Amino acid sequence: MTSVRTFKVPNKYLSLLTASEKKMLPHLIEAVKGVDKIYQLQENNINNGANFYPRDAIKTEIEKAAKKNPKILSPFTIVKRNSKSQLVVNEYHKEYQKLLKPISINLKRAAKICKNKSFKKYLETLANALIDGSYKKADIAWLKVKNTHLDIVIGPYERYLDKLFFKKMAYQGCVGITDIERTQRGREIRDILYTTFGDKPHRVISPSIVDIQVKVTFIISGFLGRAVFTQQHLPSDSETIETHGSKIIGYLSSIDYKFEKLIYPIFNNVFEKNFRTRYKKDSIKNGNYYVILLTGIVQQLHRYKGSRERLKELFPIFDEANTVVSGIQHAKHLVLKGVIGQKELESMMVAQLCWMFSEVINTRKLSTREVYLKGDSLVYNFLLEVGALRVHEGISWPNFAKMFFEMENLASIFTRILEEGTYKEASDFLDKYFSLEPLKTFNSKLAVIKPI
Amino acid sequence: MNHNVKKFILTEEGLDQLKAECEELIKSKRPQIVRRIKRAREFGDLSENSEYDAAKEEQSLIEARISQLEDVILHAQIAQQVKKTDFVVIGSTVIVESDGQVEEFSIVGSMEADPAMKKISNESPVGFALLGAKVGELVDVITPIIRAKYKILSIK
Repeated sequence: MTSVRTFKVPNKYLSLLTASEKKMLPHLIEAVKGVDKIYQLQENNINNGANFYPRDAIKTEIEKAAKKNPKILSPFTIVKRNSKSQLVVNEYHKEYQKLLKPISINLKRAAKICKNKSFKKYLETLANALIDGSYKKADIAWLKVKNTHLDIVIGPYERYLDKLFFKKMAYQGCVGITDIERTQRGREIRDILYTTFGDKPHRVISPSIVDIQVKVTFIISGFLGRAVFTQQHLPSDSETIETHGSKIIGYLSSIDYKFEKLIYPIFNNVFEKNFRTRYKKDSIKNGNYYVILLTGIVQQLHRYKGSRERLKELFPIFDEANTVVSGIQHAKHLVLKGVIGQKELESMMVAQLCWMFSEVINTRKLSTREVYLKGDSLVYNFLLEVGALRVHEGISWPNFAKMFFEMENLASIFTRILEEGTYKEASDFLDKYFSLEPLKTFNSKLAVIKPI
Repeated sequence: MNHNVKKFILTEEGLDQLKAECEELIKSKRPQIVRRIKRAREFGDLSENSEYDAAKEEQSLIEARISQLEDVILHAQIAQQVKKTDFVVIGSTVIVESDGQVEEFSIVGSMEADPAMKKISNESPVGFALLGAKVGELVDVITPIIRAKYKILSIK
């Protein structure tokens, strides 16, 4: 099944492009389409290690082999067996050479048309990077692009497909146009939260060099097309991020699509009828947008040195759980400073609950979503246990004040685990609160909603 | 005569800025967008004309902003120049501590508020709660969902 998804981009965005950018578009879209074939070779929902490792290789064998050859656990290699049954590696750019070449050609064609110097340089660098594996150079050139509303990203970025080690990165692609107003609003909110939250020396990156871009997309493909992320933090390489900065990308087309097809139907199926009448659709939609924006910002505020290594495969679970509660916790400053109102905070909390249920649905289709579901279940179960949520013919009248208070408590627990917690502490918390059963009691109500 | 018209509290500097913005919109931006719309019409078929759609949308934003600014300027009330006081007033810059974080911001009228630039509206929960408080005072900011405590460390 294809990973390519296309969206209709409203005319008002097209008018932001220059004549040459409009001519570049077909080449860029073609390049992103080409990513699908590579991704399909990487994807395998049956194996925990997808197609990154031989099917018969077990974790300990791979770890042992990686001690002799660290490239075995490189984010950009495929592990195979040679004729002597030993584990060997092939780098992505060699493994997928034939499929990468037409992508590279399309990028070079677009670069020839491009009149923006920094964008042209990026397209040329990216075209070469895909062929020779110099992804860092492409990331750095991307971060330096300025004075254009058009954007394209292609490359291996997310690790979620590798459930065995959370190391290998899956290919993705995207072409979009910046939404100026929402980007500006996003940057304002980032500035408010960063100045309020203060600085922490053990953060991976100084927040001041994290940019925000909200964009509508023509096409997404690869892992991004499969997961339909609503926001993403790029690039993925920590060293590049620390030195050159990074961007939080909000995918407006995916946000709107998921709201219509997933979040709003969940709201209508999960919450009790009388409660629902208090909220208009636009109010939940607005709350949903803030949740996503804050999720992106908060993930950066809570990116701590060494947490991935310390927490290993438990990291994405706690990262997700912390993002859920810290996003709401940080919204407090927006309310106190008059940036959003009380009702918007309520809508955010309702939308956040809907996102927890969305993972129950999405895991039916994509097993890589399990880590999110686990993270969400930790939060949901905690809120149920302390009485902030009550279930009677659906979720009925959440106690928002209690829910907020308990989310603040949880945020401080998860933040500490990410900052300095041990693997055992994380594991113990998981043993105490992890269970999918409470969320799955809604299975019959959620059965009518299709996964995305 | 309507005595319930909302007054907008502004500093003199803030009012000057809004007047300048309004003048710029009326004298420069408004004619520019009219010319852009005229040009876009010449491209033909309006139903498929993205330049026309974008220009019309921008025009409506410009007109809405002009209307808002004219209303604010008409009903502006100048806040007195802030002299150093030992309690918080509109125009004060405060250093506060909350949840272990220390931050500095100014309390301004709602039209000048720009939280990203550390200018907090006097009508926001925290702005409203801090007005009148003195150095060393612990102020509770309470909304139906959120409770927060702010300790005033200094007032400038």
